[in-house]
Amino acid sequence: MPPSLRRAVFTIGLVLGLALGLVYTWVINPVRLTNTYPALLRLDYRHDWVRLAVLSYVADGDLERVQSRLDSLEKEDVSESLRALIEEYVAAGRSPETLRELTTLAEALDVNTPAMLVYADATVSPVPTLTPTPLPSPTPTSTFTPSPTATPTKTPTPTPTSTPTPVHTFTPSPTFTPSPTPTPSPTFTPSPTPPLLQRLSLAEKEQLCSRGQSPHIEVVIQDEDGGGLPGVEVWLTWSDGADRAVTGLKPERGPGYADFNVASDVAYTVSVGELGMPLVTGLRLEPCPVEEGEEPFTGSWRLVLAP
Amino acid sequence: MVIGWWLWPVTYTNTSPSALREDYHDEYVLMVATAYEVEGDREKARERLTLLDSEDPSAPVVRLAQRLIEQGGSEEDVARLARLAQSLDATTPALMPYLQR
Repeated sequence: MPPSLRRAVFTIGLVLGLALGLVYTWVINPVRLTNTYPALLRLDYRHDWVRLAVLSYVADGDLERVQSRLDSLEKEDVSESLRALIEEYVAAGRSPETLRELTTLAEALDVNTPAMLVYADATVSPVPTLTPTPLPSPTPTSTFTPSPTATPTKTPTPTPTSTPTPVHTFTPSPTFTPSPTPTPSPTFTPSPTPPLLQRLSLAEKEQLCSRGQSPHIEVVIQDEDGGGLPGVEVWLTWSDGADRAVTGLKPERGPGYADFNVASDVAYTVSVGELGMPLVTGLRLEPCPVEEGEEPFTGSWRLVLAP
Repeated sequence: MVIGWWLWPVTYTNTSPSALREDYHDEYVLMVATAYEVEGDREKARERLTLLDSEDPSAPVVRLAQRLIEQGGSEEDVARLARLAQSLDATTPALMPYLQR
């Protein structure tokens, strides 16, 4: 056999042997990994692992246990799944207790999402306290100075995302002075006490149909006598964001009034005060009834919350 | 074979829960039972358990519960597993007492 043919046979044999070996070891009888750990799971299984660990924490409140279950995973996996779960639960209007548990865990794991702000004890500033200013006798002008907490210290800034982001319309100014009139104007009732906020529920829900008006949600907070309550912090949350307003900053609409600009096709939750108690969940804009041939348009909502 | 098995083996980064080490496997089953308690979604629990045993999804739950009973594990964990087993129609006499808790 000539040397060149010998080399060719040798080379072909080598390549064939290598190919057959790889087919056998990769396809026919590959290495079987039976002792894997969560970090090696496929992405969707990893996320489900995090979800399971977090739900277990909701059930047993054992922080050490959940941390050990999440230890082997990348922080990014944990953050992403936990954030998604919180947003899903907020949008679904789950109980405040569950959401607080989730928020506590998120804080412990250094995960943040705007939707959880309303449930985080430390992040929600207290309800602004309105101190009734005694009316000066010569000129009866009342000055309403919101306490420093009225400044939105933790107001989440809606980040540009693919989902429509409502833009908050009001900017709480440090002070506002009702237009001076001869009559004693806005008479602010004493600051609302937590028990009153705890007793609030949805008393009235009215669709506002005014063509050409930008879609919004009006919230009116009333006391036992039906009077408007100023200085109450109202939260509007949705799956990936939150917004806050304080009643009474548009005195021409009444002391208990606050509003939010909103977008269509988003489910909103309305909560009041630092309690974070969701009072209205799954609130969406709906089309207004129109006559045949008229162009359809979307209505706004007016919600009255009273004890 | 040296190349295929040791030097350059098939790498597994997208594994399924069925490949988990025994302790993680147990944690997974226990977490499924606990999540079922929170969410009450039996079909979701069954779907997750199918990843461990496609023919009898309740089997890993019953096996773990019985092992925990034998080893004197947490009664709370056993009770959770027993409740999930019951919802999957897989209760055994050994699990019955834990359904009352």
